[in-house]
Amino acid sequence: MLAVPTPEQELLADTVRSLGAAVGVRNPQDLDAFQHEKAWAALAGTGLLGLRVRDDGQPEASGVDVMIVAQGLGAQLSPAPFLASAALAIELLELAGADRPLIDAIAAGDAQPGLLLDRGLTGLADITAGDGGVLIGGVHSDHALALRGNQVVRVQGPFGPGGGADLTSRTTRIAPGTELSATGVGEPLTPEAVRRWTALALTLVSADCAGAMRAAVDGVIEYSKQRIAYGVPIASFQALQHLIADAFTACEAAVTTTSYAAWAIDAAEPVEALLAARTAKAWVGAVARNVVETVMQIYGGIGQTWEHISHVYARRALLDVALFGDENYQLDQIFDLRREVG
Amino acid sequence: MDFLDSPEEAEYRAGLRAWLERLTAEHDGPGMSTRDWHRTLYDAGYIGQTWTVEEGGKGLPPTYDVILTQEVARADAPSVPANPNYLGRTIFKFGTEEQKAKFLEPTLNGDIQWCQGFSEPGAGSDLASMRTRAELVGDEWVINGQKLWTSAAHESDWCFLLARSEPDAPRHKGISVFLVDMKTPGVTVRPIRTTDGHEHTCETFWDDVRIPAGNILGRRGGGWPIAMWALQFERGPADLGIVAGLLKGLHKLDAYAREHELDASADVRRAIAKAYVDIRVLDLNSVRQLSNRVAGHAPGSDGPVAKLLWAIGAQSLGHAWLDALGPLALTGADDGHAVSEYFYSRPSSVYGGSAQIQRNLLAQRFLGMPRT
Repeated sequence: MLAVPTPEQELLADTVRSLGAAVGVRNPQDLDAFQHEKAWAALAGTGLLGLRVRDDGQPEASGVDVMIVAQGLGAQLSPAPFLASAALAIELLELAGADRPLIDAIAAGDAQPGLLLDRGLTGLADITAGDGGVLIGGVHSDHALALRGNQVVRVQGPFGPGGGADLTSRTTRIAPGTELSATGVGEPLTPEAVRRWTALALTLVSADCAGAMRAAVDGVIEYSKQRIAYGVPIASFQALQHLIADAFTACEAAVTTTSYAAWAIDAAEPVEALLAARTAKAWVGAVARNVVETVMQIYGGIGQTWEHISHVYARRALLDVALFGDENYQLDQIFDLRREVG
Repeated sequence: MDFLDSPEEAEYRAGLRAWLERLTAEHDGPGMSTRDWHRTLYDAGYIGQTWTVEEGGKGLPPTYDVILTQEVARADAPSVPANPNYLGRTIFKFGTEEQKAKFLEPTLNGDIQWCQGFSEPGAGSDLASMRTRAELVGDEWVINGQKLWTSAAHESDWCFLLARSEPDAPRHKGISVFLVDMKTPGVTVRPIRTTDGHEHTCETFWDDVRIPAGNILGRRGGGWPIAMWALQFERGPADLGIVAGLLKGLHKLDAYAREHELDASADVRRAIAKAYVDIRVLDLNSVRQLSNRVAGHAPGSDGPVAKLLWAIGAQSLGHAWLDALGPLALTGADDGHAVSEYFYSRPSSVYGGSAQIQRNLLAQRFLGMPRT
């Protein structure tokens, strides 16, 4: 039992940090100039896109490794769709036993599928229902992955322009009744595989949100030490210290639960992995909005302007909270999972 | 990053589990008195296991105390005594050879049960404002004052007492640690009934209590750093005892909800699941923080974060009892149990340094935000 990152995992976190401006944004103006192809190539070049590729049935990198990358990219507000288009897409294709070329193309950065979620954002869309859905990831792609029953399918685009609240991760709504051209990929997923994939999805979204929250809080702590009011740094006001202490604690706990969930991805039974992931997501869902609101509050007037970074953090956190189910959604599932685990 | 037992840890856990199962089968373990349970654990080698060999322990990493508390909770046995770890270690570090010879062995084996005389009516989170005084008269210290929240004082043999011995020194430099036999004339213990209706703690009165001059721990006026040193061991493994208790409480609520079919309501299911999440967060936080200690990382902000999460977990369970039973709880349909559980959870954001003090500490000491 040694729940700390290994030296290799520390190194991985450093690698993600060192990509810096190539994959992330520091202020909203960076978004217009963001070079998606370059960012994707940078991630492919460092081998980060193919972390979940299986070699002899074993993923190249553990759930903890992918979590560290997701957290690092969240902290940098990366518009690169690592989570949906690389880690989760590859995991889904591997669990379905898809052909190697499909998977290798994603790992090499040549293909960037989106994921089609149900309109409530709680999981992959089942296109049998004809309810449309919401596309995440796949910013510059013409296809997405979804389900037809338990069968993974490749849905052919184009899907129309992205939009939505999160300026760093665009979503595309597909109207109910839209004709979708889909072809099956690999074998139908077992219930166990669905659980494993869902656990990874929840864990990575939680990690992304934890990273973004932590970076936002770190930023506002620094700001509070510089910003003078009434002749003193506002960091000296106890009212603000308490807000920040609570936000910091919430972030620490988010990192902790997410770390356990990430560890459980490969090391625990699917039901335990799913319970751990839903627990992490429930915590993140409970605290995230409050944390980003606290950050905006402490920045004061400047934090309410479009040109300031704080709403970019907030928007990312709001989408993360909703992806794969908000707090209440998780709590409903956790109640039953707990009894199943016993 | 590994949350799983190493082969050595797994072997230890298996041995411990088997021992606990045998014990429960043979002796009805949970029914033992605190002292007997302490002695039983000691005889089996589980007390002081994480002390260094030099201190008389086995030098095991602190994660073994995690496993110990987890397994003891799993067996539904009484919690692992916390005193040996934090008071025993303190006596080892600061005591004279004579004090070590007198206190260490019985502290480990449970012959001496300790209470902690820190808080006072006017000195809680602001502990250094304490007024209980100790005066050296001839070859005796004479102690006068009042202590509050002296938990387990009524069943303790000795008290680890803080008192002001240097009235003219600055407030942090005038405090000393005294080791006081609770049978000394002038010590009065009175149980305090807390809002949940039960007597969990005590207040103690010290009227001309005369103890030998040699019963001071460390030097005169040097008590504050000793007390702070002791408290760092109160956190960590001790928190895991808290987690075990909270998980037990959650199972009880779960069973009640099932038995009375309250869990048909989505709101009730959510309230219970919410408490589970908050307790699990505290649980995992303890494991992560202890792992950081094993890895040699400095504690940093761990103390305040752990205490804040502790209060969140405990009070979330209290809220879940109230919310799950709703009007049933408020009208006494359950013999007042839920309301009692709720009130039992309230002091968790007050004792051991209030939540507000923890936030001050976190911001000012660890996040570099200045004091005004």
